[in-house]
Amino acid sequence: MRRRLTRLGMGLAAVAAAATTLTACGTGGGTTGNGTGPITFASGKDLTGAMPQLLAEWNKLHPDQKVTFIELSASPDDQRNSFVQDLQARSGKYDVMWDDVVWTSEFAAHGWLEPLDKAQVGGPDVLPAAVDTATYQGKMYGAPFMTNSALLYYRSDLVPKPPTTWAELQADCAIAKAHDMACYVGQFAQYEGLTVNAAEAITSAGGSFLSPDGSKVTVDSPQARAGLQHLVDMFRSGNIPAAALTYQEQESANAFVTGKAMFLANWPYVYTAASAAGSAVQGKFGMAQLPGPNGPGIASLGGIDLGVSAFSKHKQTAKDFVAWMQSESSQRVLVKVMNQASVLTKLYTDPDLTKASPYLPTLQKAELTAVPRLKTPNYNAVSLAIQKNVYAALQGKVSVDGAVKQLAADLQQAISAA
Amino acid sequence: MSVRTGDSRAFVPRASTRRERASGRKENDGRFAFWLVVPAILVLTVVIGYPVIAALVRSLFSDPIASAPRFIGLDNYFSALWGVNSGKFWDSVGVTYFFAAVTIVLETAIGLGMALVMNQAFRGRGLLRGVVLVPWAVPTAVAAVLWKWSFDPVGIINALTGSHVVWTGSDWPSKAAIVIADTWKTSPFIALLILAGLQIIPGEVYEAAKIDGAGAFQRFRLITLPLVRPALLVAILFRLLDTLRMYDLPAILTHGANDTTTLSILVVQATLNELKPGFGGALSTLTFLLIFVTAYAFVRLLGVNAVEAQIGGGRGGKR
Amino acid sequence: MTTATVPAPRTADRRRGTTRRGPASRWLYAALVTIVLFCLLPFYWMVVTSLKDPKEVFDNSLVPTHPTFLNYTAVFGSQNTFLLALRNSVVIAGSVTALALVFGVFAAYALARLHFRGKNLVLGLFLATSMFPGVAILTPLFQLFADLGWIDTYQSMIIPDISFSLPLGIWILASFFRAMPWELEEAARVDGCTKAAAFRLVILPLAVPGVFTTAILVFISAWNEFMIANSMSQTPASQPVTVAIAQFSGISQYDQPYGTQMAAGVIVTVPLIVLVLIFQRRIVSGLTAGGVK
Repeated sequence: MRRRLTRLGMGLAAVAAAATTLTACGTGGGTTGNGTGPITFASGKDLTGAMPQLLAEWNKLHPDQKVTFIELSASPDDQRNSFVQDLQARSGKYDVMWDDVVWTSEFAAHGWLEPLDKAQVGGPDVLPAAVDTATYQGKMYGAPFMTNSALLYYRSDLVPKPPTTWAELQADCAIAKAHDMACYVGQFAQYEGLTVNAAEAITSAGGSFLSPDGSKVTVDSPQARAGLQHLVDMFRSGNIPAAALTYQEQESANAFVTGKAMFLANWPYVYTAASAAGSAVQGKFGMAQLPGPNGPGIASLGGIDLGVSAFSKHKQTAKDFVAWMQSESSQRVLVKVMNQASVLTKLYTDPDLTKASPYLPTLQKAELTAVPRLKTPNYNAVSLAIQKNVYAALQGKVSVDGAVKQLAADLQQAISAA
Repeated sequence: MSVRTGDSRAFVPRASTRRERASGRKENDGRFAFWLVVPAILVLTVVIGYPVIAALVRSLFSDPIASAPRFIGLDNYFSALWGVNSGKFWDSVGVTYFFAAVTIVLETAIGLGMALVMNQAFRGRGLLRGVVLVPWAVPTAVAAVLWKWSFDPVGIINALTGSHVVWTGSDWPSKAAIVIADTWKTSPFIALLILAGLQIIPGEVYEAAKIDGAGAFQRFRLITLPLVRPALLVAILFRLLDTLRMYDLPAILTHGANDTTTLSILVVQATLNELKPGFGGALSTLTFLLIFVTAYAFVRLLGVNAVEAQIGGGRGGKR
Repeated sequence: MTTATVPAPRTADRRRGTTRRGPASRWLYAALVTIVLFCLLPFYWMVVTSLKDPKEVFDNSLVPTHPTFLNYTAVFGSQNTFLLALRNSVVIAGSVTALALVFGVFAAYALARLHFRGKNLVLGLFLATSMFPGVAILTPLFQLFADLGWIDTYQSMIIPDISFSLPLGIWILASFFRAMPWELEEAARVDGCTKAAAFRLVILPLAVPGVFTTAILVFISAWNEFMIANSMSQTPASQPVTVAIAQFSGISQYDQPYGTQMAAGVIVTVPLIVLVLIFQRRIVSGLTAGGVK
């Protein structure tokens, strides 16, 4: 045990040393050669089947630096567990990891990620908000690969124009009532998606959970209360159905696609299912920015950064690979085949791509104002605290005021845990 | 109250007689037995002894983010028992014991009822035994997914009852869903254990009681219950150990939301999600202690002696 | 002071003489039907759901109106590497069973047949180990396997599984061995058999059913294990079926995977149910011997 601890200490020291000595070829201490060679790339479940094809491209170009694809679970929590466990063991099994934007700070703080060259992966053609998600304490620890922000799906056959404010949204709910359907659904089960939805309501109202550097708790404010109050009111009036307390992305998308809900807040991916044959809303829906208190709201930024493991044996190849994944040719595959949103600004207005995904310009608008979710090495504990207290308020178990007070206390505990 | 019953004759259809150990035993059994038992003990030492001690040691260290863990003594335990994490810990203890108590009471009641029915003579008893084993054979993970689907807001339970309960959206319905799922899966199993106890009660005893004018309820209270009690208590003890470790059902059905975070879920959360092996080690050690103390108290209070039961009432006879 | 091990002798089936008639038996049959429904309805619902088209899954009709094997083809489709998961489960549960039997048979024999100092202590030890919460060993083993680079391998699940399957195996085997007519061995010796021959010709054949039953029970317990597998397996390469089902995605990313999950559940459960129906008498006697889950 003791020996393991010293080894851990030495390992961390080595990482720190590696991070400070920027050798010409970018390899840290202990690796041999010039840091090139075969690597592995681990991602979440690839539901489109396009990832292997994309990687085959790279392998054609770099026969002696082949990348092996490791497909992990579809659940982000399980993906994170896989990465964390491997990184703690310092095994370097995953050279390049697909990091949800909220993990980057945590992994970087632990010294698990290799710092990357901002000029290479954070240039001016990359969305600034996406670059921000990959930045921790002034350095970039990931190459933004795809981005995501929630949009409002609405039934264009029932509402003439999408609501831009919360008041308009509530007024429109009368139409849903008349059609005997739920008005608004999102992700309100007690899981990561609730943090996203709560953050959207609270930041739209001008509140925040933590200070930008993650060092102070700022949630105890009238603005945060107003944001949470909005969600609570929507539940209380039945405009968000009680069943939404069990909804994750899948269930909420289902409610909309089967015609049981008039509004849906969700990631852009639902577009495909909603416009597919057999969908109850085919040709009857539109997409807009989320509403806010006095105009379009602020969406939470999701997405994926590609991180290079600090324990990789072939860091140079890994760095070249993440840069290649960000290149225009790869990003086109991402948008066209995988139906995801690119991190490259110019691909949002590309006529070839907007034909397949007409919502891209709207999404770009949303992403320009989107805020990254919290940046803190204790993200998991922070998110759990948010989920617990917001959920209790939505259920009506505690008052908004009580929930915010308790949340402030829990967040304080979460960020001071070290 | 010591009823001596025969030992298991699963495959040898002969009259049960309590058999002393075969004669001709030599005193050098000891060494031979040692070599037979040691491999199993060694294996268990590796897979259980080492991890438990490692967790205990690790629980005395802190969980910093970017530095080496420091020795902090019992701080992790204090934080769980009455410090910043005590709320979480005691909530989980409450949830775990709640599930244990409610499921065991329900499963025992239903199991006893089933066993009494199955103990009657009718055609197709063997088939019924097979049917009763079906819920037990369904993997808990599959059962959890099945019940999650049934308890969906638009699932079959609400459709059949015409209600709109959001089962996994608030505390008590969530707990009820887990209790129902567990009861379905395990009551039949308890029924089989009790049935085995019932089948060794000779029919003549009932006949005699009938002649003495005992009614059905009296016969149940005065004969069935006392005679089946030992089998019942052992079954309950095993269920107690199982329910206090409950993980699969709530982990899949509710992900621990709505106040269904059992101790096992809390430990996994702390270690694998929050990356706090020290605190997680403290939690798992506390969990083990709780289970151990509960089982010990149960055995002491109710006089179940599973070990003796295993020895088949032998206690090695006379030395 | 009693015994937990109780016989289910074949003779007992006829203990109460003839089947009764009259009002009592009507109640009896009502009760029997209730029991059967209680046990089978949820499973029936799983089968029905698995046969429905994804579009129909939510209509809650009690019979599949247009039965389809779509979900079953989806289970074996490229989305969900289910065949691999089945293979993993067989390998893991099979190895666990083999190991538990090898070590268990010796220990159980000693406990059932031999007389030695500290026997109660050893028995108590095996009982105590069966009480262990899996979570207590999960984290340290995880760290250890991570250091060894064993995460996501078969051994990372087989080794921890031993912690519950070995005590279980010893428990059931010991109660079977205790019930065996060991006098026959003596008799064979008197008839001139060597010790080895007596063991081979008399004891071994008698022990086979008990060992076989134990194997089934241990196999089922390892096959159904979820928590350890969920933590140790990271990719489809090593995931057993329980984890695969819990993490299922539907036919497409946007379907709710219930139909597929139910189909997978049926596929995983049916072999177990067949086992249970064929060997129900043995399984019950093994269960009542071990009082296991």
